[in-house]
Amino acid sequence: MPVEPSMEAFAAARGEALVRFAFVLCGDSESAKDLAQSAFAKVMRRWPAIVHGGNPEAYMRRVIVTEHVSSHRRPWRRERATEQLPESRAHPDATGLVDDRDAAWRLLASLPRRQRAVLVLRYLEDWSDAQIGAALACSEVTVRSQASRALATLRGQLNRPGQPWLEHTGRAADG
Amino acid sequence: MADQLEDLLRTTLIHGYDAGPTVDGSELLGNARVARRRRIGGIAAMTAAVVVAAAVAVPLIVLRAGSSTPGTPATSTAPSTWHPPVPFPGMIGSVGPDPRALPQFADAAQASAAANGTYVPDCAGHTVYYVLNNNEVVTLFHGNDAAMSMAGPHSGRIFGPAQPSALVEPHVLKVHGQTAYGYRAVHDKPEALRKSGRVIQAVMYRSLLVWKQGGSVMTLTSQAELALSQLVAIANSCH
Repeated sequence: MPVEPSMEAFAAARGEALVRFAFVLCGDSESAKDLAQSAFAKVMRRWPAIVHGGNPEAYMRRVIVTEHVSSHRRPWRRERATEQLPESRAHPDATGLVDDRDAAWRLLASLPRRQRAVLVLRYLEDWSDAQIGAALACSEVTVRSQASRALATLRGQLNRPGQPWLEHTGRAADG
Repeated sequence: MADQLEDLLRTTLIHGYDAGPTVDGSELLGNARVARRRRIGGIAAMTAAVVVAAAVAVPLIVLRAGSSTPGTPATSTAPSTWHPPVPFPGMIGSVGPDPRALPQFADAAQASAAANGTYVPDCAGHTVYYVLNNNEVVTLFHGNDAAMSMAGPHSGRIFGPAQPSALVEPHVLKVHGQTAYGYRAVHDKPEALRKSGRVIQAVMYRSLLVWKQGGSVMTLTSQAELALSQLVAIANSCH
């Protein structure tokens, strides 16, 4: 039974990375575990073929993205708004970077999930628009459009007075 | 501005990735298997529940297939309220057979012999002993809802600590002067439900105690009546 051990080895070695990836996509620990778990459940029977494909991790990430984007159709899995961040800031730092990240994380959570997925795949995974389009079953034009809208939303929100990102850098004036 | 925003996005996402949850890969895969079985109806066909003792998180939980209804706490020691011994952390097992259909013995020595030498303590309060197909022995106690199971050294039953969860508190205790592991349902209330995605978890026992004795891994549970300290007292009285 060479299949099972190899999947177990993969889960042991890369399971956590996949959950973290799912966490960045959905912003919630439990949902992230759920996404990764669903992805494993989905590929279980086809695992030998997926391994044979040469890059099971990339495949799993695509499955996670697909699961995440399509899960909005399942009412019991809709994201719930939360005030909680993935970490609490212990103390303010001199550069205000933590404030920036907190603000950006909050704003990311407010984006539609396809837009957020595009940003995650582009800026965390460094995928090309073609790769993102393949994962999200849409064209490259749509990917660029989604990214553009997401960035515009973030820019608009971050430019609002009172955002810490602008307060400590003075970037509001830059536009 | 665009570059700054993109830089911020990158650092935010990388930081979010680093701050993401830590999980045990084998647990993840185990849950995936359960989820898959649920999806194809395999587990739904099981009669009551699958007993799960998760390696990392939850040692006292029951995965209830296709239902969010908690089970009914036991109120007597009749065999119909018997639950299978909890496979210890790391194990995912199915519900055992109805013990009423299994060989029963009136005393510990006979049960031990029938269970291929599994150590079975002989102390006051036991009802009959049930010998399971895998040479584990189960007995109930008169007067409360405590159930004890004994798994021999070759049973594969895991003996070790687990992590706290939203449902249970782990405790490290002593039984007969040796390290034992106890698990208490949070607030001493069994049957609390927690939904995690498609998986519904419920505390099955109010308290659970595991220790080693005579080469066997001993598991003592109380569904609703006895606190963990009372289980420790029972365990210390069994020789």
